Amino acid sequence: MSLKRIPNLIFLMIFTLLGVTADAQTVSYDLSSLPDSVKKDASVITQYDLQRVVVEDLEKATYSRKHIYSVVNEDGRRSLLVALFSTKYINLDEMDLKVFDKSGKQTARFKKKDMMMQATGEGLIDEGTYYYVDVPAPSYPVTVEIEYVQKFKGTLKLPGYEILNPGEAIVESLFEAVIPSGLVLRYRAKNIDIKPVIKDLGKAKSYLWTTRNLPPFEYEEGAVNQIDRYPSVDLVLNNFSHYGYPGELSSWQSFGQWLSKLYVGLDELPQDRVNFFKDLVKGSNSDREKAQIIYKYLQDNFRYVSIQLGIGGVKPFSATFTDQKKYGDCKGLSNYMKAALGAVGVRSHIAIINSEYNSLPADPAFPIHNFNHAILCIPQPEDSIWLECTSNIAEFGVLGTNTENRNALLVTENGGILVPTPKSTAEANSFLIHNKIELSADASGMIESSLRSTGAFKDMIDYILKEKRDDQKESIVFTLGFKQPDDFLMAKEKEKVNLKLQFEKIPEFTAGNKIFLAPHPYKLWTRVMPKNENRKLDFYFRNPFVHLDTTQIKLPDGFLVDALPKPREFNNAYATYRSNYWFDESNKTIHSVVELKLLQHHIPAVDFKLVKQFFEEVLKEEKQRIVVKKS
Amino acid sequence: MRKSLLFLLFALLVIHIKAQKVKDTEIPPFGTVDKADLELTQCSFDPEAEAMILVEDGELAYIDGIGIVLEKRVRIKILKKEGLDRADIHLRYSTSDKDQSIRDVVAQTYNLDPSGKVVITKVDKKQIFDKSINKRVAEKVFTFPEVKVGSIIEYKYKHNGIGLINWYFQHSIPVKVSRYVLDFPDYIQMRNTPFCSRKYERKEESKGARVAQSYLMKEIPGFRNESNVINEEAYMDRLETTISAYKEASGLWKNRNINWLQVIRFLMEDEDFGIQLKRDIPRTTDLDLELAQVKDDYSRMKTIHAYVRKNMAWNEYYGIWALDGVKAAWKDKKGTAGEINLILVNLLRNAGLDAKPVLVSTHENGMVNATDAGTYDYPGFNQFNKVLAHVTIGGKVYVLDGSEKETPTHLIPRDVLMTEGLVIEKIDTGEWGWVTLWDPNETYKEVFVLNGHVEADGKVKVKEDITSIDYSRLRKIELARKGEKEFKERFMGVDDPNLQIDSVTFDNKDSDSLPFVQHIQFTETINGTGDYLFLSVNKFTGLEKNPFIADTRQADVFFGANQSYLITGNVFLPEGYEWDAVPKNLRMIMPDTSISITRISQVSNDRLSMRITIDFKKPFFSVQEYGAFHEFYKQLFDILNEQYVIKKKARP
Repeated sequence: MSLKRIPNLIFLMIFTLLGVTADAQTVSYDLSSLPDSVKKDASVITQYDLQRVVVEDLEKATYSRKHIYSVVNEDGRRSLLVALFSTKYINLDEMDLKVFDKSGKQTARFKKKDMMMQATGEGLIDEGTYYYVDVPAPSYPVTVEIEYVQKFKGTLKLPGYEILNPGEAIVESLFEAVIPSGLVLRYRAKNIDIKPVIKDLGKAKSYLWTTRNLPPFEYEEGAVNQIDRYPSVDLVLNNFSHYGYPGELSSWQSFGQWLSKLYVGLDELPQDRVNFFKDLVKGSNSDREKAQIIYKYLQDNFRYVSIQLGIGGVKPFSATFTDQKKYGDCKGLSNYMKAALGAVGVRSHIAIINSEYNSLPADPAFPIHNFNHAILCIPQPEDSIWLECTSNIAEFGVLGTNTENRNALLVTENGGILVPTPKSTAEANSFLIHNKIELSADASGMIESSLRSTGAFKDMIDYILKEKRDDQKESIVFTLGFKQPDDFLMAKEKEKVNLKLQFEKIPEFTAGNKIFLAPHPYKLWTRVMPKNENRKLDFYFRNPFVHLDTTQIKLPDGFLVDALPKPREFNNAYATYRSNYWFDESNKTIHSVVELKLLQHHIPAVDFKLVKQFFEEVLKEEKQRIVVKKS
Repeated sequence: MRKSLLFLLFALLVIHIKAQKVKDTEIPPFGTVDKADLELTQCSFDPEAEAMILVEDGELAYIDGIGIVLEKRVRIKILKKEGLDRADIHLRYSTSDKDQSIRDVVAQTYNLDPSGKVVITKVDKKQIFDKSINKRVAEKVFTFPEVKVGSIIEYKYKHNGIGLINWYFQHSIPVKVSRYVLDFPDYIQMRNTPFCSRKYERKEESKGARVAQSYLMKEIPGFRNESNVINEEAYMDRLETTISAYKEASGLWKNRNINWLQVIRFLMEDEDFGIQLKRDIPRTTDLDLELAQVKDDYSRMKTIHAYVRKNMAWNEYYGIWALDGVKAAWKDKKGTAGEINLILVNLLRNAGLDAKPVLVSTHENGMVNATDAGTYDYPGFNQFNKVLAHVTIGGKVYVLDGSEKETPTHLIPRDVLMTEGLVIEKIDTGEWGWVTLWDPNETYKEVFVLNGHVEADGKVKVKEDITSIDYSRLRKIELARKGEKEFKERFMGVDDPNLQIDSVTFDNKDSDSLPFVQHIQFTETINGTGDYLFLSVNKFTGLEKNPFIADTRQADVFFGANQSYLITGNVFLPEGYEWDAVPKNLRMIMPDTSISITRISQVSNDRLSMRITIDFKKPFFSVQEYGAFHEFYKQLFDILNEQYVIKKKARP
């Protein structure tokens, strides 16, 4: 027997401990014997799934899976791209994939060595490797039988039970966790009501979840982050080890304790740098002022580089290293900012967070490590200061919706404290624009727009400002929705951005002696809401916002207003719209005012219909035209 | 797969002298930066650039016992925050080629300190990482310390075993000076072909038994990403190199250049190409039966084409060779593009058709240079990445690809349109040679016929029939077969809540060449202001947004095929409504008549009849023509977006 076989032997021995044994499965290759309730609307059908997590000790766990599923039609194509992740920490040990046609004949087989591999991550270091295979499907249904084993060198993140995806139906699916008796397992079912059967196996306990005959559900656009979107069960061990560092995750406090140990001693700067920062903030008194100066220094002199070094993405480089290199990842830069603030006597804490506009806040009652980002918090008696340290453009103290509206875990000397980050407000994302249009008798003209923006709009406008001219022009047309200008100028003037656009034809179109003008010279709103009105999942916009437009159109002599859109006002608990149009005869100017507000970015599923209808109304108003006639 | 006519050229030679360094005053040495460059805030010849390459210097040398080594140095100036990413360096090398390695990486950052002194910060060797990308490729990865706007970064390295490479003077960011030196023993003669749209300098220097040729370009603006480009690299300034001759021990020069005749002869005699054309493909009785049913040559060709497509799966490898032999591929029912199409040619010939292999280079692979047949070491066939079947029936040429499933037999495959192909045949037949893969009558053609009835409540019910012919059919058919849902999302994505699609049905979805017809019925609540309603007839045409907004252009515009669109139909009004003045009838044509649009509208009582035709008579629009083209496109989309106005009649 070669040495290579030994790991498998161990693997077999572990399995003698199991609470359930795999029973022989009958597979219906032509799907004929499957119940219609399961088949209806399914593009993928899991005929049998057995997933197992066997924890041997804190530093060793094995995940194995046998999954037999049929892809019914082209809609299920994505399930034929099989991709498995492997890192130094989670090692893909073995894989065997067989493909069967409708008659049950095996048409292809792949082993790990047959798979393509691709490094992932933009960063400097191997973050891991995807092994993947694109299973050929000359016709449907096609059935895939895949078995694989992943070895875990730690237990901070146990694989959970991910039950099914949109369009997928389940005939039978089992998930077993085998945990040594001395360890405490916590679990949490999401989007499904399911409980495990617990068996005492002597040295270990078995937890078995079973699901049978689940029909498929529909994909809903704009829903909560993937992690929390579908039926699944999270597993957490109260004690864990991560890259050899043992810790406790029974409470947020204990997890923060573990994290804080990883940061010990890393936030110290050499004396000359301490002096440098002291000198830099000389003359400022408040924490806020000092932090503002140092934050500006950080933004001008440091840059974000993805380097997930050290232990599994949780331990940063030292502040001294970051100081020498002037680059770092989110942990490194936040830790550096903390060190620099410490040098001038301002106390701050690293805050670990799950970053994404549609992520759910971490649950105070269920500590689990689902974080992917680090920011910095400077505690204040009122309104603590939060800093995003990876951005060269973010405004001081403004987080944005990727990290607002949720809970961050502050890493303090006394352990972790889960605290809410600021709530997003509409006013923090504002787009205020004033357009002056001078129309000539030949329909040509100039548009002068001046705009002030904050938050997400400011990011967008700042981005466009820095673009090259032709890219800028494309952004003006495709992103902002102006007509194609013949010439233009875009420039920043203090807090304002001025946009001058020259057009051969200002109107949308002309027919006979009439010209038809848009109520404002760009598209204020274009997004069409997802069609499903009766959603099951909440809907997330990127951010709440205020959009205020005032437009003046000066008509040339000999032109008269034939028709103006009607003023409108409509609203609901989440959004408001109001518009007004009038013609000032004395200076031959048409005035148009539109205000659109989205008050919160998170829309509960039950109210989605309301919000959808609201924005459909807005789109209709966008199609209104001002009709002007040559007298 | 790279094949040479003679593999072991360098093994035959004895080389003693090490590569020499070429000095050039234009190129500052590593480590010496000008203060002025550190104070620079803008690139003078490309003022919008976020960063610029101050120096790119490569020296390719043949070194005894090591092979071909590239010593390369790059110096970059960071001009804006957006340019900071340029400080992350990824140097790729092949791991499947065991002789390749990247060594001696040295990198450092330059900044000015407050007193105006140049400060150098080195990249720590420990912070240079090896990263495996996949089974064949790895990279050296590192990032520079102390980088901010204004910094200069510089790195150099040796890439051993790299082989002969083309040198790109142009990049996405501007280049102040770029030099490529080829340093070879004097018994090797290089043939270097510059593809440069700007001025370049060439120098040659002999020292001892070596010759160094250097090519230098200055002030090359960055290359912007543009849509509708046949192949970006074809438009970038570059140098292509080959070895054209070497001196034998006897002192006589041995010419390495070859001509296309030699290439063709070699191919015809090669085991993996020409010999494969004479293989009898076994077990084709089912094909014989099918062929017995059809009489004319075109049908025979079509039958064989379909048969190969049905029976052979493409393994996604390009190439012109049948390395495992056509018989083996046939047995596995799977093969490279080369294997499949050599099988196709075989079967076509066996059926008595005039079929020959034609070497092609897909748009993605690059433009073919028909004037360069290459050398013994790198023969001209390396320019091609596919072989197709070239069939002549009654004077008409057909180009068939058996490795691709959708293109009908009568159409030239899309990915080689307007390229040069090389037909391969025995020399003595005289039937070999160059062909342009193009037929002006095979177009991207689409007809939209609308029939609408406006109802009293201001809604319009429309039946629209879209007929997609040839290349437009090809563009749509694959997605239509995948499912109605995807098709609707892609081609009928509606960004208008007023518009509701009532039904979509397809005709000829499963036909292999008939026009693909889409019947759409939709109801639209017509937008209106006051007594006016506005109706657009530009629906589901794919002509809603002008893609040519940019004022400048670096690469020719390429559409693939000639195009023709017709939007026509009638719309009827109910009682109480009338047509207001309709947009004027017009015809607009490019000065060289290459594009034209005609619009005719006519109202008679309650009926509007309209007809818009757009015709493109050529697929290419050169950079020189872009000004007129850009203006024409602006007007074109203005016309397409004009709407018909309906007026509520005043109540008596």
